[in-house]
Amino acid sequence: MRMKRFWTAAIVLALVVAMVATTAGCSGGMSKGSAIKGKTVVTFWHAMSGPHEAALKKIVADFNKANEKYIEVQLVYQGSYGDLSTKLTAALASGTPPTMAQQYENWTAAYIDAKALVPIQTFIDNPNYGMKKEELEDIYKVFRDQNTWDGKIWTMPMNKSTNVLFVNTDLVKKIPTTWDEFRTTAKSLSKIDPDPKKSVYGFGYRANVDQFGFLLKQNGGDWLDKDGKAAFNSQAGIDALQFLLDMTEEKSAYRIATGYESDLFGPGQIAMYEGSIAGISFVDNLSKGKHGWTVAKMPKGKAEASTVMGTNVGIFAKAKPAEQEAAWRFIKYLVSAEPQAYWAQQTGYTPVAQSATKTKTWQDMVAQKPYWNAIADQLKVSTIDPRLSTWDKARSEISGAVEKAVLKKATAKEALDAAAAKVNEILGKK
Amino acid sequence: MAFIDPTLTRDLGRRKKGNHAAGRPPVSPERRKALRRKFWRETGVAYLYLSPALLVLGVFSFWPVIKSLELSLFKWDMISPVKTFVGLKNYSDLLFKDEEFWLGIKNTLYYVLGTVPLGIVIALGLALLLNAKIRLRSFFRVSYFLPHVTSVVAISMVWRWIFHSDYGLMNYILGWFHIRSLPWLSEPALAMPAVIIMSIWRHLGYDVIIFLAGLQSIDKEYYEAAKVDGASGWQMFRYITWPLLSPTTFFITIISTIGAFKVFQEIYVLFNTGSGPLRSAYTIVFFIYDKAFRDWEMGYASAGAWLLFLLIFALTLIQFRVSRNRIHYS
Amino acid sequence: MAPDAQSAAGATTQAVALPAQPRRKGRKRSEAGGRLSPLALGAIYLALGIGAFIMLIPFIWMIVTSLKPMNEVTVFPPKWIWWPIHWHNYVDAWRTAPFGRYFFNSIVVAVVSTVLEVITCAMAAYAFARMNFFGKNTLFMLLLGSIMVPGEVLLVPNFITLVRLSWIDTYWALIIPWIVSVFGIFFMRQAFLQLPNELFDAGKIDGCGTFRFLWRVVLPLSKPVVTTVALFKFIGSWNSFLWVLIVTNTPNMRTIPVGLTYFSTEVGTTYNLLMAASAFSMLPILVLFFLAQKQFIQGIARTGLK
Repeated sequence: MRMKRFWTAAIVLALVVAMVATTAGCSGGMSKGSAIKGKTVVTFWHAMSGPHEAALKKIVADFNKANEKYIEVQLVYQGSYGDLSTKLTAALASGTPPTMAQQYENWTAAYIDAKALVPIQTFIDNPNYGMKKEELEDIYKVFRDQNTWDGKIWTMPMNKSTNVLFVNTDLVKKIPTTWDEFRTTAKSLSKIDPDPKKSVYGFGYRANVDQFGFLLKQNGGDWLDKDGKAAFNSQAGIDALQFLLDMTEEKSAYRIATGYESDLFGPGQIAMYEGSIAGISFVDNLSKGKHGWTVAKMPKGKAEASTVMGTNVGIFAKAKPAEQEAAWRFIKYLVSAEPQAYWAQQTGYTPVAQSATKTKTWQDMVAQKPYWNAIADQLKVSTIDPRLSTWDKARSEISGAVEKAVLKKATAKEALDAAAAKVNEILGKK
Repeated sequence: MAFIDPTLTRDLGRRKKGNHAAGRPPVSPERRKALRRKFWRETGVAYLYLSPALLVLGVFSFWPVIKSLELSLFKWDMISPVKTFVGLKNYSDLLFKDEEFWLGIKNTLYYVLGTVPLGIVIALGLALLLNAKIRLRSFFRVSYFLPHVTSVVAISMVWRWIFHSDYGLMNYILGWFHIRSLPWLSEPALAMPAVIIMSIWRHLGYDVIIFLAGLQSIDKEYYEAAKVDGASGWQMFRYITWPLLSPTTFFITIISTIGAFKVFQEIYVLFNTGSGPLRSAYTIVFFIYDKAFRDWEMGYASAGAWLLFLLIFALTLIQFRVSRNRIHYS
Repeated sequence: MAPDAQSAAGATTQAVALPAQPRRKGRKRSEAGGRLSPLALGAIYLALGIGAFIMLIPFIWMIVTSLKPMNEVTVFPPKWIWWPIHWHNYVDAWRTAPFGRYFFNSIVVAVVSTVLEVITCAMAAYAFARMNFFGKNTLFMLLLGSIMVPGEVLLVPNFITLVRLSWIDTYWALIIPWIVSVFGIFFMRQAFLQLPNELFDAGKIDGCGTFRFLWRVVLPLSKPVVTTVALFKFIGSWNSFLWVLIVTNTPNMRTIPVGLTYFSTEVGTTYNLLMAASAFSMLPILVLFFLAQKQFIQGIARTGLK
């Protein structure tokens, strides 16, 4: 009796094994050379909320549906970027990172040092499911550069933005294109009332590293020199900061202490500001019924320049090969034309693939919102910031210097020189 | 530990007196043995009572605290498995080289001195008023408690608007009284006062509730008796309320001081993840947070946390000492 | 036991010399000031009224903002009255994140950890207040010391512990680490110390087991304090954010404060919806507080009458 049951069980088991083996043999997972056998679940930690999350969910859902049998990407919202970073740190410390996560370049630099990431390059180079040369070059060079360390691409650009000039079109009749025009326009728009509540300013800015960075680059300067030493205290840097100080002094520019620029731009207290295009939906909501608005390229000083911002997505070394491959397949899909066009349309982030601008989605959008042409133009002259793990700390020093100068605790030169010394110390420490 | 908690010694003293009943001849060796046995038996019972608390605290408080002491001797970025032993270097760097650390200490002390005494005085006053027999008492209690209930994030955003230099509600209301607009969040000298105002506003309800609980445990018959004797309101406060409330006042002082030293989140949100103009509201925990999660210097951050701990601990000991003879238990 | 409890509530202190206490005749509602002159009463109302206005104005702003369209939110000077009122913001806010689930989790976590905390803290506080044991002083300072280290540096070691326990993304991780608070132990100990010794001696004579004595006599007599500790725990649990975010990975395990982050991004905040969400998320606590604050009045009087 017992023997009989044993044999029945054994036969059933053998059959099952045989079946599984044949199915696996037939399909061989996803394709030739694939590590994916059966369904692979991967986790993706992100910091996208509101409409951004909704768009990401749609892209993931489409991908999951197309790869129903093999891959399931699970999105996990992890709060703000700061929260995400804290969480990633804790997860890495305990050896439990997700398969992939959004990350800023300076985090990536730290993760690379800690050998926590697997370079995306290994997947790009894979003959079976990698990227062809033209596919890779479809991604804007600025973004490729931003994700390259030691000649290898480590992460892929995801939600990227550039910085542009936001303009209140009811007040600004002719959009300024040079610093001189910009200053004159701002001055002519500023109406300073004895009652500060009734004042309107031509330009609003936050005294921080980002605002200074735009001006620095437009004035032909850069953060660091070729040897990686601080160079923002060059004459170009000092003049750039002085430009901001002069505008503040003549009351054509208003320093925003805290909160977002769009909070004041919406009700019309400031007529222009320079900031991330990711803020478009907020500007739109806050300006609705108040005034028209558009975005334009930032005015040029000696050169046209802007900075790209936003995060990239990387795959963690701790994940199993099958998971890594599955994550890569998703990333490859994410940066392809259609999802990128959809992403841009829904969120206001720039597409990272040039081919996205050839899609119908994109062209419809541009027809409706011509300012997207300006964004695309701005992107062409946008550059990246240093990507060292210590850069965040350096940034806070530079922000401090800008504030100091604006609050007249030091001259532009004094403030920048002091910050340069600090930054060199920080960068040298590593 | 040379120090002994005054309230505990008082308690111990009384207990001993109870054991050696007054007027009894010197205890015999057998009696002493019996007492000792009793003491150890009671120790056993006490730890039984303490065990759930100690188990949880042990795992989730003591252990990580000790772990952080260990980490403070290392250079570790948390994300790589490699830790480098550096001895006391983190401590000496903090104390002798790091300006930011000292800035944090300075600002934190400013904050503590700005919030704790003022907060307690206002809370005590309010608690006395709210304890009086008045109409709308529930309404008032809820109003004062409301700020403590809300999420810091949402309410700090409201305060950001309230404090806005040119478009804020605070200056709008000050305008009713013809007071000049003040650049609350944009002027370094005013940033910390703004944080202090918001913090007192937020924590007031907490202190008031504790004071109310304290006032409730004072027997009403004292007041009856004092009234029969013709005592004035002030005298009743001075000779009944104040001394009998002293354990509560002491408790609030200790707890709010410890809490105030750890201020961080309010500032983080109020200044949009910054620390105020020219870091004028950069506190010690802000520093620790930056070191740990921005710069990935966990060892250094832990050392900072331990220095903060030592500072608070020393101040708490002083508070216990100073108040030793001023607290009245039953 | 009952008569003892009553006399206990009556007898309090030897610290202040006072005439012999009259026998308690019944429930006395007369509070600190006794009867007040109309002038004093007026002054009290004025002071409390101005204070309440200051306390409430941010909330009025919050509610007002929560009912405005986005383009009116940042307008200055603020409009206090506008039309139409956007009630729909509340619906939109509710739909932004899985708030239904978040509410459920918040309630479960807050209720369970509050109940457990009251139990663990009462037991520990009782030992500290009423027992004489080895290492008492050291242990007490150790407890107090543990709240002096900022939580930020404990986050990573605690996370590692939770990973080892396999508690990540479970209710355990949300509840267990928070069922003891040093604040609660300290506060209850203060209260237990204030109870008269006679009460405890009586308890001993009655041969009442210490444990039963704690639940039947000591806790009821300390009702205002127990309520306070419970209330603060509930609020603390309700508003806890970073911990929840760090130890959970699925929306199923998250609580309301995580939902509140959905309204903010690096480049802007949907203020009106955030304020709406904040308003509805604090509602349960307000109700709770309304109920709890009655305890501050009734706590002692009722036990005295028993």
